[in-house]
Amino acid sequence: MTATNKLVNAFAVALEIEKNEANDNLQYNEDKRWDSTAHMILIAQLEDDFDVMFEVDDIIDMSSFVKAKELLEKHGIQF
Amino acid sequence: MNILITGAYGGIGRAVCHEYAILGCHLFITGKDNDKLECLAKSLREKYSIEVVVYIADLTLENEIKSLFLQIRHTFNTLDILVHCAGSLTDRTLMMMRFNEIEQDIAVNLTSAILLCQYGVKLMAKNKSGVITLMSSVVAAQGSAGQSIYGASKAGIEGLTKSLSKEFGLLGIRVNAIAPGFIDTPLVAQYSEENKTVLADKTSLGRIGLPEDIAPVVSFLSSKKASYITGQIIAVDGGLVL
Repeated sequence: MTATNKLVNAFAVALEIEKNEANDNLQYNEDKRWDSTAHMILIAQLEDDFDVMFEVDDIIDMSSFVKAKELLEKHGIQF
Repeated sequence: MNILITGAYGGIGRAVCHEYAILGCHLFITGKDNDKLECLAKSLREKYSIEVVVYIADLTLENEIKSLFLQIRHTFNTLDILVHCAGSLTDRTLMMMRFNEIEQDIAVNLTSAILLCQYGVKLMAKNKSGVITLMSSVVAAQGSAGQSIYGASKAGIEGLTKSLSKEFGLLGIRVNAIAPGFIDTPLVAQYSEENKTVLADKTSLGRIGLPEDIAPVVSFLSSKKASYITGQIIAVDGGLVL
């Protein structure tokens, strides 16, 4: 599975959305399914799937699908 | 069931370890003294044939808490139950408390609990289930001369418990605290027999508590029988009035 597929899958599972909805337009709090509770589940899912541990600043900064990709790249994940 | 128990070789921590070991749970035990932890782990493995992982950590340091949870994730992948028993008590009037001692007591009793919950929730959220049990004290609600910082930090635990129960509720994670009365543990080893007798007389049951009075309540709170209990401070104090 590619990193992008893993990311899409993590978003779909954590936010309970369709995979095609996990795209570059997805923003925190703009989709009602990505609220503060879902955000905690998403962080847990991403940490587990990519074997990383985010800093608190990362968790605060993860405001979109695009931003999540950037933060994972910072942790050495290649897309 | 995968369980993290902090302050594992202390009085209450040790009793909690035995309580969960009887149930066949996998234990991840922490403390600062490697010899004491290894000794406890050995006895638990021999007596109950369970998996026990020892991890030395100073819970006043965030990077050590982070490393602890990385290790738990690599060992168990998930965490079902977190029991925070580590505590510190400097029994002295406020005027005689040095700033570093104030910071230390708050760091061990309160800040560590906050950070453990912050990291622990990430290992519980994925499965949308988990139980966190923190240790408050009868001192949080009643106060005790010479224990102002301890009381303040334990009152903080109670506020933390109530807020996190609301924050984590939709994640399926329950958060409760136990408020023990006077329990005969190494934390109060400096108390004279005379002082212990005075305290025993202040309880409805006429005796001071034992760690074994606390551990079954911890176990109960994490059981299915307590599946609708969250955000509660459960007094286990024999009716102590300070």
